[in-house]
Amino acid sequence: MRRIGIPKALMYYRFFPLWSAFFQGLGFEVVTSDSIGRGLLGRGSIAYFEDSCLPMKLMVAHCLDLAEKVDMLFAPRLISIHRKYIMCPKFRGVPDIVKLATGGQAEVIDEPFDSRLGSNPWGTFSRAIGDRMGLKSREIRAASRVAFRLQAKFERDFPKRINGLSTGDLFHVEVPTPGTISPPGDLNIAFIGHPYNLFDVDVGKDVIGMAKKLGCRIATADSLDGYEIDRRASHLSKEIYWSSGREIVGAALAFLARDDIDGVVFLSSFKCGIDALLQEFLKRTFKAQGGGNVPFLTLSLDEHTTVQGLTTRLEAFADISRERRSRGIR
Amino acid sequence: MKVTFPHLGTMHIFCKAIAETAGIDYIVPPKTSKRTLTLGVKNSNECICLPFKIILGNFIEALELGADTIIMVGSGPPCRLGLYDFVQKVILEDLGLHYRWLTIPPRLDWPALLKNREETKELKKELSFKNITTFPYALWIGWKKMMACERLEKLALKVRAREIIKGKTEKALQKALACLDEAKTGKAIEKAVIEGEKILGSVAQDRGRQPLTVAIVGELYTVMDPQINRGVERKLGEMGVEVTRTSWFSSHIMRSLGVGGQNRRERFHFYQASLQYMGYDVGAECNVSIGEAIVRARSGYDGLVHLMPFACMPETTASGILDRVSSDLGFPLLTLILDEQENEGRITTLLEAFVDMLRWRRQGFH
Repeated sequence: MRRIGIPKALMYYRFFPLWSAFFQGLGFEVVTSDSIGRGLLGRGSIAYFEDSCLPMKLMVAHCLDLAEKVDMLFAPRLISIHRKYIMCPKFRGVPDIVKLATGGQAEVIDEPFDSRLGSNPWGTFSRAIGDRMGLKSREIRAASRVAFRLQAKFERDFPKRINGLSTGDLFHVEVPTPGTISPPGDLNIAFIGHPYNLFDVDVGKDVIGMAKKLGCRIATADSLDGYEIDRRASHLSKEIYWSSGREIVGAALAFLARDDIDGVVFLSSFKCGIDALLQEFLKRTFKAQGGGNVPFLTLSLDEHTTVQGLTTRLEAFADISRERRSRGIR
Repeated sequence: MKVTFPHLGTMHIFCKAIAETAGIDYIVPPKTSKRTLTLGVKNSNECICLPFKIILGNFIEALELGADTIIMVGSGPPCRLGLYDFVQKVILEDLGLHYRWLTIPPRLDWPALLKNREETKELKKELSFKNITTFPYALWIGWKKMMACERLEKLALKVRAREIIKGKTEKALQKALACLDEAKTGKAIEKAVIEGEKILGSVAQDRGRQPLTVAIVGELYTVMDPQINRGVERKLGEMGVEVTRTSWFSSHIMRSLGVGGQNRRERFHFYQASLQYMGYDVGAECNVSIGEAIVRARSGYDGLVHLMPFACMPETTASGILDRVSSDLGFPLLTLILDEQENEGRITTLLEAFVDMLRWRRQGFH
């Protein structure tokens, strides 16, 4: 059985169920990388991407970790995952960087995925992968069908998983979604940011888990209606052309308009171009539209971020949000 | 109505010419200074790229002087430049400044025109018939001036590498540009160019010198603006290096208009060369930077300087790969990452060491 490695970085934190089910359906053994401590991070950051943001460095670190163990490495060139909008430009260079870093230890699956082209981007993408591996298109279609069903179910359950499971288990597909438990806590805190900032324990140091311990119920963009996010983002004076940026801004504005949200936390990674620009926009929009009354916390994450530093800030933030709620400031 | 625009290299010369010829009031923002940068830095955050901060600073200073209409170039994805106006508007509003904003769309198509419809309506009220009718002529004058500026600058690159007394060329260039700035009509511009070439030609040169050749690549704003790159071009020139760059206003404008065969062919050539390292078009100047490095290495250049603002998205990818290109081809590379924390000495020292190394290489030490 051939082994395929899926690095635990970047869009793993959105599409892992889809990818893993797809490759399992094709008869691969799917290997994911281990969580990475400080030691491994050093290897990745020195290798090729020292000027990049932490999630990108982690991608390289994970790939280096996996390359020895697998025959193939799944690092697709994600250009666009939305019909109209694109991904961060750094994503376009990921396979090239991974290839240079791993030095041909494992075959890198670098097929481009571009939703702007054609009506069936996944079809094109999966067929290209099938062609490379010499698989029949019938097998590909069958595997895709199963995978999509699984991903859809996963996405439906995701808001429940966030509050019911620990962050580390979120993307372990074999861990079942907890039933309807009303999550403990008295504060509703919205977390916005790229999925890999929010859910990657190596990047975010499990901020979500910390917030839960402080008595917060977590809301993320996944719990919002996609249509609502899109509507909010479309009303702006200019089209935000990054799909992730759109999601962040749309979700933030949607949370701002809601009454039951006590505060918004924005997780950004240091050197992320999209976050830096949107952070400035969000900060000032919250000031102008929310009357400065909605607590808004920006946490900038990099490899020097410590748990203690984040805890202090989150505690203060939770205190402010609680105070605001008890005084009934709206 | 008082129009203003950001600084970028010699842009103020021909933007001024356009506004003047069309009879529109304008304010040239004060020359980019420490204060400009401080204003920009104060009102943005650390990971936003340097051009954003400087442009923002330019605008704040211009608005303080009484400008009320900002003209800014737009751009498309994937680089952040396309959203500069979107965020800068919010920042300026938050600062309590009042302005009208006009974005020149990167491509003239229907969505772009629709997005600017409101502003255009407003503008129509203020512009007189004469302003509008003379505008095409003004554009032509502006274009002519831009080409003239570039011609002089290109000549200066050659002269500077061979000058005998350091700094003479820079003075001559400033004089020539000032002369050009005065010219009002097409004929006067042509005359000014000839005059300028004469001024530059009169700089004492050592014609027998074989200067080192270095290409400057990277993000266009940092390559084109001497305020942002702290005069890398001039410093290299004064160390006796002949600098080549392919980022000029004309080349970028012609590219976005889809004209200019030679220039586009050259760009395509660079793009093709980059494909052995990059499997896809990353956007902005990334592929071109890598491709140009490969092409320059093959055509016998002595070295390459790669300029990028801190946290620039496409160029970050490029810098990772350029390291590899440089070691594969044995081609000296100096990457300069620029941000607001800069002291004069750093860049000079780096460049001096780089040039010394190139010189040794040429003499046969490896």
